[in-house]
Amino acid sequence: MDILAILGEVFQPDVMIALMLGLIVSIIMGALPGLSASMAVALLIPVTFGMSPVAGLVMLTGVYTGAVYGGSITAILLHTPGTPAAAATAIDGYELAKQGKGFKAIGVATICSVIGGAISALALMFLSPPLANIALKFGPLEYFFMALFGLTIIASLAGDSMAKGLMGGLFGLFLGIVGLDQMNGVPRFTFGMLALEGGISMVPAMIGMFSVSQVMIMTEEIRKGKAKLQENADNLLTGRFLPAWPEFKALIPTIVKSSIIGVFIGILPGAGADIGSWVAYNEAKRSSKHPEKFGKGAFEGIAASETANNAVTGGALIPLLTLGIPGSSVAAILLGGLMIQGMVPGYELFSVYAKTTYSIMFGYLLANILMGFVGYVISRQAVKLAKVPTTILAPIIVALSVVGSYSIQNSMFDVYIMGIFGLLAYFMRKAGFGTAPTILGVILASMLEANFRRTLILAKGNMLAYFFIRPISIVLALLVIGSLLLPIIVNKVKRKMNSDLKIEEDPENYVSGDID
Amino acid sequence: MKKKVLHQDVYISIVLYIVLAFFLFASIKLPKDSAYFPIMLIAGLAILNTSVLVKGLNKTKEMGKEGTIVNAINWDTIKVPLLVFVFVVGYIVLFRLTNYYISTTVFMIALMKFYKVKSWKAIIVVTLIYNVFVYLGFSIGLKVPLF
Repeated sequence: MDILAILGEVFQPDVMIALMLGLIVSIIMGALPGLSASMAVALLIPVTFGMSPVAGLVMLTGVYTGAVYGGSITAILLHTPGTPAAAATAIDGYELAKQGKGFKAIGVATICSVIGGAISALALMFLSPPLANIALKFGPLEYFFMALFGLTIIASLAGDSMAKGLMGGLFGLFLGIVGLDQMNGVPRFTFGMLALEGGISMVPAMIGMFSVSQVMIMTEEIRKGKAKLQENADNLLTGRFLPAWPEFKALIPTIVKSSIIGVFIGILPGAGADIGSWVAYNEAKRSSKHPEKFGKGAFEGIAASETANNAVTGGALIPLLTLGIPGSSVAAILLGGLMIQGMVPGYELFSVYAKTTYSIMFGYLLANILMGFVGYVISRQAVKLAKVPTTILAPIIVALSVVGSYSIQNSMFDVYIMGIFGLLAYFMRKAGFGTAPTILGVILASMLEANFRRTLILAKGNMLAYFFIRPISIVLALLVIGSLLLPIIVNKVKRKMNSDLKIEEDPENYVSGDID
Repeated sequence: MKKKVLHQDVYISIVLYIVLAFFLFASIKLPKDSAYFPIMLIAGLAILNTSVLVKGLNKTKEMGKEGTIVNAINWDTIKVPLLVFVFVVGYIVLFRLTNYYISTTVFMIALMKFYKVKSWKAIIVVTLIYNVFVYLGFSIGLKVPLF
């Protein structure tokens, strides 16, 4: 691969401007409690339409890592994680802020996020090509199981029960087949509406599900008088930004270990940045010489969770780019962004589109490095913005959702789709159904159905015999079964983490927590 | 006498069965090849829906016993968010009838007033900055016809 050509692609003015804008917006959005990385990516996908694939996708991957990092700022200064991935950071971060080390805590979070993200970008560059080669051995049955695996693993982890999560996924698949049947052109469930023949537009549906539903949930909070965060953050933003060398040296083993944990958890489909940060935090506490300091203001705690949650982002992109399986719910949305740019995950990304793919990967590495500088400059302002009341934020989110949905095809029908899906997602979240699997289902539906029908033809009526002569399919089928058992393990981990943090569930305010 | 309240999952399951039956009839009318996959999905949804219904009935019993389980979807909780959704619908209708900038200005001011934002200065500044941002980013930058 010609490195100079890749550098030439990345260091273009449009790519750099898109990257910087994406980082600034995402760090601020990540810092704002209630606005997640999923929402940041979904809202910014329409902006990338007019861009080149490199500029658009570098921006979106940068938004992913930037939003995850941004969550740490309010976690440390306001004890309110901007994103669920920063919940573990809040424990020690806020304690340090109260001790007058708030700015240094943000400094440690920034450096660790940069290192974790950069290591995961390198893992993405070096682990993806060999994995993509495996995809060459795949036939329709393998692709069917692959899509099914991606769906079951995210569906089984979302929602308040596995059944509801899976229902969310199947519902998404059903929505995904609305429109003309790709194999024979028969309209399905369009009820005479011409606009539906092209299918349900994916991006407006995503925007509605993640943004409008969130505004409706924010309204519940506003009604309870929770429109504003604490005002005392400025008093906590004290101390120097960078830790002294001996302090940083002591953190290196934690950073290395947490990076590996983060990348590994990111690769596991369905396990997002929140799980990565918790696992790394617990491991850091378990292996620390001073575990008693955890929870009372340990820099190690911040280092572990912040390194891991950003390391997850690159890890989650590995199965996404190589096999088309998103490693997290944000990666599922990124899959939509990838497809919109005409890029289909798999071997072709590393052969036909190799230059573009490696440029995106390098751009992602650069995004992680630049994130440190941008974070340093805007962390003070991000905290101020985090104090903007939700009463002002909510109308802006809706207005952005409308313009974002409309601008994709200049179509009012897409705006209607956005609105309908927003209302639907609100009730789904209130009822404990996962919304992330629904979106993934919409994205994967055509791939799943087409490969299923091709398999039926290839099997010539004997599906079972065809299945048993294909070892990769057997392994994938076992993985699908395994993915259905995963919630038991994850629930155990989460329950333990929640008891460590002493989080109590409020049944009246239940909202499906499947958003990174 | 106290009215018996069912857990929300029971209502949701019943509605879903009706919706699934409707789509099953729609699927049966399709050519065989096109109907195969939707029918599989409907069957899967029906099986999972049964599990939700059974759990919902169990939760209903628990509700009666301890009162620790409450319905997250209740009129008191959802009425204001639904009203905000009505604002969104009005916004979309106005966008259709006028243009993005007029509808956005009306919507933002109306929703902020609904949320009881007191400062007119804040409302006007936020609305103005937002419109300028969209004009520069979408109308000029991305050439989206918003007028």
